[in-house]
Amino acid sequence: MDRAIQSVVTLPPEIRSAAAAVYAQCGAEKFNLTCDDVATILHEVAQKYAAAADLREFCSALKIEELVLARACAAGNERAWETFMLRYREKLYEIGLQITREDSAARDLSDSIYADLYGTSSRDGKRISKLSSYTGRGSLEGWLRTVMAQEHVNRYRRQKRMVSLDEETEEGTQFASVDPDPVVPIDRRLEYATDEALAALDPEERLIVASYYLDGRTLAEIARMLSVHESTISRKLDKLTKSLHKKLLAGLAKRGMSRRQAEEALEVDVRDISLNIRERLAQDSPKTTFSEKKVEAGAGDATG
Amino acid sequence: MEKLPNTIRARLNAAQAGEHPDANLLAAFAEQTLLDREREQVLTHLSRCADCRDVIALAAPVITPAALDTRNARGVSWFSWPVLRWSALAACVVIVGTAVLLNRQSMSMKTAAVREVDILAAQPSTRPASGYGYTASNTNNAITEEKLQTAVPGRVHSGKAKPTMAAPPPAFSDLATDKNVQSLDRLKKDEDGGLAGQRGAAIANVAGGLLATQPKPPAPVRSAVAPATRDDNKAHAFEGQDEAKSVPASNASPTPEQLKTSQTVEVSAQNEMVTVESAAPAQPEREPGKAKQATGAAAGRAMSYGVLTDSVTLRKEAGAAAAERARGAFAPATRWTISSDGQLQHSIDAGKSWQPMVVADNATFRALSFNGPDVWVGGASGLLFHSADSGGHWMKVTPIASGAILVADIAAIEFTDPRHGKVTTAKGEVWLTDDGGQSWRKQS
Repeated sequence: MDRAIQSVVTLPPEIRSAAAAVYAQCGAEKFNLTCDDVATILHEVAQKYAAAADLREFCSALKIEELVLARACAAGNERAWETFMLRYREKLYEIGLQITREDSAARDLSDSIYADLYGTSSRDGKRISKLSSYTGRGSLEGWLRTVMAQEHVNRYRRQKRMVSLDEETEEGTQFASVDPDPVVPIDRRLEYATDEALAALDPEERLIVASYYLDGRTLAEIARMLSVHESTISRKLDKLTKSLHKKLLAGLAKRGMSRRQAEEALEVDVRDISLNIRERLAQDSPKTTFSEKKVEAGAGDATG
Repeated sequence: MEKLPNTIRARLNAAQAGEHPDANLLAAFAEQTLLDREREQVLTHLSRCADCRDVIALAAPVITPAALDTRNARGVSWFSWPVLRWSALAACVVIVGTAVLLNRQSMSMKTAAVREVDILAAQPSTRPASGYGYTASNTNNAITEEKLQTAVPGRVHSGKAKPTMAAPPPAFSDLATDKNVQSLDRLKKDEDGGLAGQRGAAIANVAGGLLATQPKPPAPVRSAVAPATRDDNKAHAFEGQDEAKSVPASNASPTPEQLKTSQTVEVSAQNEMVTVESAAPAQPEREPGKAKQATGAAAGRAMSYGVLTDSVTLRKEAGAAAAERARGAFAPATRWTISSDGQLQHSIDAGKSWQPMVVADNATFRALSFNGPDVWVGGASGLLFHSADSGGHWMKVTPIASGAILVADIAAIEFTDPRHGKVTTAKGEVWLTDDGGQSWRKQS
């Protein structure tokens, strides 16, 4: 049985006109959604992302047809589910296979996501579907891909935390005894020069450097993340690394170090840096990327 | 890649990530549909959050290089430094190449003109340069007019040299016998311009002939027009040649629209390929021992006056995809797929790049099966199309069996070969055909 989408009483005129403009093409009618329903959906999305000034432009950039389909599915419309199944059931498995690279894990992941999309959990007697959180900013397929990737990452993190000590011992992991934290006097000039060099990078450059040196990703993977050619990443990375090195040396020289001292300072291992730096670490130490790890089938709980 | 200083590595690792963007923003980031300020915010977060980087790395769609080029080209300004740099380099290469080519052409024209002058200025007792293979003592016996005529078929040879003849200089050197030189002397006396005038006229004619008949680099939009534009004298040069074929006498290059039309219609390689070969300057009979010199001379002339001694092969190049469709050809690298919004797409390079294929207006599809050039696509409400020539032509198919028509949404299509196929609907109906869709039966 279809559930009605709760209407908001007052909607901005731009939203109403945007909804009226797209109503015929978006296929809402076959899912028993009225123009007001579509306007309500657009209003909800716009409130989350758009500034009041550019509502019309914002609405025109949304994937309205897919948004309507997703919301109709979330509302329980049967016809919408048939359409969704036809388009995306196989795709869910293909995406799962691309992420997990293993057939059984892919099936498990896609089945669990499908259950979340359908809405196996409920709140106040109402079924909660993950599809109600889709906002049409990107394609529905891209959103499904991201949701599955997030679920896969969460499962992996949970599984990692749940690995027993016995298993780790069997794998040969050594547990070092607790060391007293070494207090090594840090050259503040190095810290300042480092901050200065990193501040000169823009976010994309930081992302490239972090992905390559911290995450251990390949140039091809980074290129795919940023939708550019691999050669572009290779060129940028080479330029960035040399530039960082140069800026560090220049920063240290500006602060009174000789070239030789500066180069020696750059060779200092991170473990010798004082406790203050280590305390700033907000993440776990760098781990193997997901391209090299597989989540065993059936591992992790189904809840989000 | 150069090693990253440890201090930088530590700082990057220590960065605070902040609130994670939701799946919608991450998906929009991967598809590059975010606004600039949103993209900046997401990038800042990603540069500090390893978890979200993992998600993006797993969720990023695979994009073909062609699509990447299209995407990146949209955001590139024509006046950005990289574009200007490469444009300037390309412009320099073009200018230098053009200058070298023009220089070579003018050099060869000058050489041809100078040689012509030498030939005409040669005295009866003075034989042409030995490069042509003649010696003072042998000329009388070496070449007769008859032998010249038979040796170079199609050429106009006579005792009366034609000073205005636009044929290549070999004709003049061939005429440098006692008899023919006497003819030249006669002409010298007869013509007002004298030998100098003839020489000037000959030079002009040779230069004009060379300009008109310079071999052009084969271009896909040109047909073999060169022979048809020559004057009568040159046309004679092609008489009697077995290899020459008729070519459309058109000076104007076909317009792109005409070319497309003709390319679509033409289905055989013979129509597209035209080979025009001029007669290689067959060697006149020589005394024994002179053959090599004559050959060398002829070859030397061939080098200098390349037009009539080179074979000219021109070929129309049809667009690969259009030609394939017109001929119904199927290349092993042909692929088909349906996009997420139901559009049929086609690749001829094994999936490296994709082009949309419009089958019918406002048609969206969900099921696809292809077997060589045979392609079946199906969508909602029984929409079913078939192409037997890799998408060149499409036919709408309406399966009917025992009075029932297939009107349900098509969920799957399976054809093991062009004749035997199965269509499954969303309602679970199975429709079978054993004759390529001519007749259908509904599986009970």
